Amino acid sequence: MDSIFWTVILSLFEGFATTLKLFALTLIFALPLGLVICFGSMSKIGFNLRLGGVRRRICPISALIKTFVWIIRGTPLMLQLIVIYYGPGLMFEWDLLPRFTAVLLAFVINYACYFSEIYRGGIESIPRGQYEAGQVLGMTKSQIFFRVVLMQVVKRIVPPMSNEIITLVKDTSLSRIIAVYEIIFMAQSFIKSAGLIWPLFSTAIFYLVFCGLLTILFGAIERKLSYYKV
Amino acid sequence: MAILEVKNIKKSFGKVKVLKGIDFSLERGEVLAIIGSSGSGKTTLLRCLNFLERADEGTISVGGQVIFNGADAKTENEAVTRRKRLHFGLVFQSFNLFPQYTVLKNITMASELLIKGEAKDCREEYEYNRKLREKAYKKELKATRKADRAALTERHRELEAKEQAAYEAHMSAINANMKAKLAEVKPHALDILAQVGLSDKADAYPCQLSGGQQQRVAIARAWALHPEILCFDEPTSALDPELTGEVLRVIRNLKGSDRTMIVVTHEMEFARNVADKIIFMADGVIEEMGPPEQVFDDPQSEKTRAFLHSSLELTGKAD
Repeated sequence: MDSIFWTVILSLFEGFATTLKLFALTLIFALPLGLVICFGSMSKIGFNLRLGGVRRRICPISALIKTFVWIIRGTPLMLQLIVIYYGPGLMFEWDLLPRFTAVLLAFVINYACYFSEIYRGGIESIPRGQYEAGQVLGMTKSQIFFRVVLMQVVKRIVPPMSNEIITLVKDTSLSRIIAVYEIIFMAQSFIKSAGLIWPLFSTAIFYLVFCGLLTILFGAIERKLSYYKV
Repeated sequence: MAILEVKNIKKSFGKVKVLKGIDFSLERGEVLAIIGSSGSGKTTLLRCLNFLERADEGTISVGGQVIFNGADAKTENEAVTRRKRLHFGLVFQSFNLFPQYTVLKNITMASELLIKGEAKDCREEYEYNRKLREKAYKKELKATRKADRAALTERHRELEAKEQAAYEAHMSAINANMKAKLAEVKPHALDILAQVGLSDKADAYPCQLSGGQQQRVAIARAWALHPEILCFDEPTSALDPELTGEVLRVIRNLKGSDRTMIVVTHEMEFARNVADKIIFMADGVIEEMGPPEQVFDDPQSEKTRAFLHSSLELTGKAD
């Protein structure tokens, strides 16, 4: 084997380390943030308004959050990356954020919005009867949520979550657009520097193996939760 | 004295008047069956009794004590409502067991939480009172002359020490009591489980049981809290016909004890044999009320007669 091969492999692993770091940090921040956004969009805080004889309930928090989620889900993640990285500098002449921080910020916001909708779907899919059963047994609201509803929500959201998380693995490659040294960026650099195309193609192996592992992990979680039906 | 007294309960959903003034009372140990066609307000009545819906008007008294009055303000502390709810138990049409817990845990969970909640309430009450005393003391301290402050501080310290000691004694009594009660929960649940004939299913999950078994667990779960009045909302309507018998048998067996029960049902035969009192509801009012012999054999109202005729015809038992 010639030395260029090992140089390529080494830098691919280096790039993949950045990819993994972005993936892990996004999950760590976006999973809880998604729950907060979910509660915000389900919030019923507000007031009644009479409009043309029809009484309507206005919930400002929920409306605001829903608009935000609409914007984030309605625009390309790539565009959001560019806006977060270049936007503050162009608009307010602020210093640029470090590239990785900008990417992480964009990913966390974007994925938190998607997660929030998955959470919401999960929470709203729990039948009223479960809450009512808790109520007639004298349980408090928080006892009902944490002891009755939550585990059922978890079970219901594992399949859509795994889908979204596997998408995230591959979306990390978008950070290449603002020159974060993740695996695609590293592989692509060999086209110009050494005239090699195979490093780019071989990145697929990294993604495939990692997504394969995640699939196995989520399969195991689903099996672990299969002792009850909801 | 009547254990349950319901007076003039009214409930509307938007413009639809579902209950138009319901009055009845129930003696301890009596079984009341509520019959009537769908949409007559039977289920809504039960839900009002269990505080799952708030009645618009009327009063509900348990053991002579008014626990609900429609005239009162709508904002009520959640904890107060929770306590009132415990006068009643409710068995749902669709069981509503907690799927992620075993049968035993389904039965014991609420009792355990309630027992633990008591100790917590005691702690919080003490903390709250302590804060009040602290506030009063600081206020007093400001108002006193400097020379007298030392004496006041001393007095406050003594009082606090006494209160603390009293609280600790109280808490340890409560904790001991709590532990004793917690130790009883499981054997008690197993005992009830045996009475509904499901001893061997204690460690099963709800999804492993048949509908009839699930409903029997749901009955055990409601029963375990010893509500004064146990309500059943069409307990057999979601079951296959061959499974209704086992559930009805369990309910009938409960009757022996001095348990007061309200059963909303479409099982006319069951209502006639088990109930001490029948209420026939139509369009949100009690159309007819009385002992089963009277309501079934000699109905006074035309509507009752029509309803009984059609429902008995269905089961092929019309004369």
